[in-house]
Amino acid sequence: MDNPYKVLGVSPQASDEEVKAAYRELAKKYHPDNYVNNPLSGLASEKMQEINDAYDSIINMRRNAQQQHSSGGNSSYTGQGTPRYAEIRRLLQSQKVVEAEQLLDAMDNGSRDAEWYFLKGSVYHKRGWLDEALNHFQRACEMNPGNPEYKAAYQQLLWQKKGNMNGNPYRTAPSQQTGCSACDMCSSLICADCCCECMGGDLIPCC
Amino acid sequence: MFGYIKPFKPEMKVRHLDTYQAVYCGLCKQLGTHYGRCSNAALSFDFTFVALLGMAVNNECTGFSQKRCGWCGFKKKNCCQNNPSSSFAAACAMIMLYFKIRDNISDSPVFKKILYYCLLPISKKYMKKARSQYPDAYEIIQAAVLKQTQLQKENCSIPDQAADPSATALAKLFPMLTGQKKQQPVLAQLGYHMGRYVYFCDALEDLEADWKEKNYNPFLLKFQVSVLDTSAKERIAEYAKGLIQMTVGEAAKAFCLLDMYRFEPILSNIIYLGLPNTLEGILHKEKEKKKNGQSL
Repeated sequence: MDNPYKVLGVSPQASDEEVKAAYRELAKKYHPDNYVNNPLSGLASEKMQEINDAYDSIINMRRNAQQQHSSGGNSSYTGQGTPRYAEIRRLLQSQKVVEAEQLLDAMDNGSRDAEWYFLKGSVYHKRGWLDEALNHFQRACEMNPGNPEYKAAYQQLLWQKKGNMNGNPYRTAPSQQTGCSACDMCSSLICADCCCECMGGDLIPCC
Repeated sequence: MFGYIKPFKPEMKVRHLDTYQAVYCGLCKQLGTHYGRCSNAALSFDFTFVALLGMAVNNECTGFSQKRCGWCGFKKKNCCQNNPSSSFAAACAMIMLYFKIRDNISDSPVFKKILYYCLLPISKKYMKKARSQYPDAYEIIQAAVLKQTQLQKENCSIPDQAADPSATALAKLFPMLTGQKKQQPVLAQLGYHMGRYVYFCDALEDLEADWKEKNYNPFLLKFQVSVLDTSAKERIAEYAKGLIQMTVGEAAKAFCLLDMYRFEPILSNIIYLGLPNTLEGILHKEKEKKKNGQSL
């Protein structure tokens, strides 16, 4: 492996928090979910693995302990589908898009369910026909609103349609919600005490 | 200065802008010396991007030297010296110029037809020289032009399909910039979506002109426009914006996986700021035209 600090883009003197932040930033960029239906998903997975190994290596070196962390999972077509589409999913996973499409097109119109539209959308997405992919994912979601796989594929394209770009170094970071501060706690308790007193009770006797 | 793949200069460091300019000027010089005096009329931002991309991925930069520029009052300009990537970009420019002129002859009104007929022999001469050096590039571009012509004849109204020949051409040309096997699929994916980006931007920008001249335009066909009024233009602009932004998103995903030895800040500026900004410029021009039309 290359120097793990170089892979994460931090100096060896970086604090644990800085290392973690750098890891999170890179994991967001190369997460397999960003490369579902993408011909470069294999390369992205390799990159993700490299980042995970670098992070693990640094943490191990620093803490002398095994750390388990999520690798983000592999983008896979095999997990959630019905058996009739298993072969198509296997072909898509092997990047055999033309063969997968042929099998899909051979199915008659009457039998085209939500999963058919999702997989056809996946074919279009891999090919780069994004408008067709979006329409097919939308149809799949309409036919099966609860399905997380179809929803994720559709949402990813919608996110890009709004002008978002993977790995954008120029985006302004949204304000981070870090949870309750001491001020939040105190002011909330004071408000609760006031409300309580209005109702005849007393939450904090000394206020 | 033509092209859609441009940097966003306000957010670029001065030294990076100087480097970009030097590559642009270097490419101009290369066209002039290798092909002929008028050939640098084909120079565009798009081919500068191709040259930069090749140099970035191959870690090749043959250095810069000062040369006089005929277009700028013979002032001395920093020019990037010839290298394989700029040579390839220049050849692609000459081949595409030839096919563009041939295409314009059939699409243009009479006066412009005469002009293009005059330009055809010299562009053919430049094309032949480029073809002798890069025969594969010629085959790829010719195949795309033939496929594009066929789709236009069929009045293809599916924008994804209409963009496919141009996109496929760049998907085959970009990997030719390097011998590194691992980088080639990344360049192919980047090329495909850059091809789509350029095609859709061109179609969006030419909406009104194509409507007036009754030329092929996939957006006009998709929306089955009988009258290109304000509401039709707004619907098309909304649709095209979403489509182009999705395309740029896919290009960005490929760009993330590119290993660059140099020029990463310049290329990053082009991808993440330049592409969206150019799109905004085209959409804004449409809005301005509409505003001016309404005020009249």
